Amino acid sequence: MAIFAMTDGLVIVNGVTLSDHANEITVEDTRDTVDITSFGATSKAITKGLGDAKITVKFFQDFAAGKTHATLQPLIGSSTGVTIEVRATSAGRSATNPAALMTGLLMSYSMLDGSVGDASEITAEFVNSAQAGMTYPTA
Amino acid sequence: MNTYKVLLPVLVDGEYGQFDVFEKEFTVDAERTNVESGLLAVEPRRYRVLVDTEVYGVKGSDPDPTFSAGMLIEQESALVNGGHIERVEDAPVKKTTTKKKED
Repeated sequence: MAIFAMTDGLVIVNGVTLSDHANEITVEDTRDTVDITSFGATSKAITKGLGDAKITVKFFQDFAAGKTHATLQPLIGSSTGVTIEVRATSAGRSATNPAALMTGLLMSYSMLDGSVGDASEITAEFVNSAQAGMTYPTA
Repeated sequence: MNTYKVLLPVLVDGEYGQFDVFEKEFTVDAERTNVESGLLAVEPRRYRVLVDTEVYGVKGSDPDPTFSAGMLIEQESALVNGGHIERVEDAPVKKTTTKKKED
């Protein structure tokens, strides 16, 4: 896959494919910055600490059965992580279309967020809840 | 109630050894702890998709709108309460009798 425009992203939340209700995906895989500078140093020494991961998706709200609200609302009351998977395209996982996959918790849910005349969009932020962190399976 | 398989070589509940399968009503926290620790795995169960959204790769309008998955209590309840799926109960075991017909 060459440089591409995001036109066919895939979003799966707890097994439910919500790509046709999403229009923005952000995947973050980070490590804490740990300062290990000791006395006598002339420059800071930094190492990596604990990992963290987050997937943020912007959805169009839809209260129909099986759509955005029905999928996300139950997760805000749940303390069990669910699988979140996103891909650049809806094609199967491959070396040129890897998935970003993690077990995550939905930490905030804004059922409505918009102004008059706007499309009803909401942002869902899933934070990592498992030791595996973010993985990038290709198969 | 879920069905679990013991993955580790230990005795669970004093009676289930490695690879044994058993049914139990765990609390959400106890289930999650046991599964995340690698002690137990949830045995796959059959579900029917009730909506036209793809759930586990299957739509309610597909010729066979069912799939199998091993879900934790809260993962399953999110989808059941959201109206996405329902459990497909196993067909009841057909009762057979060995009693001979009386003449």
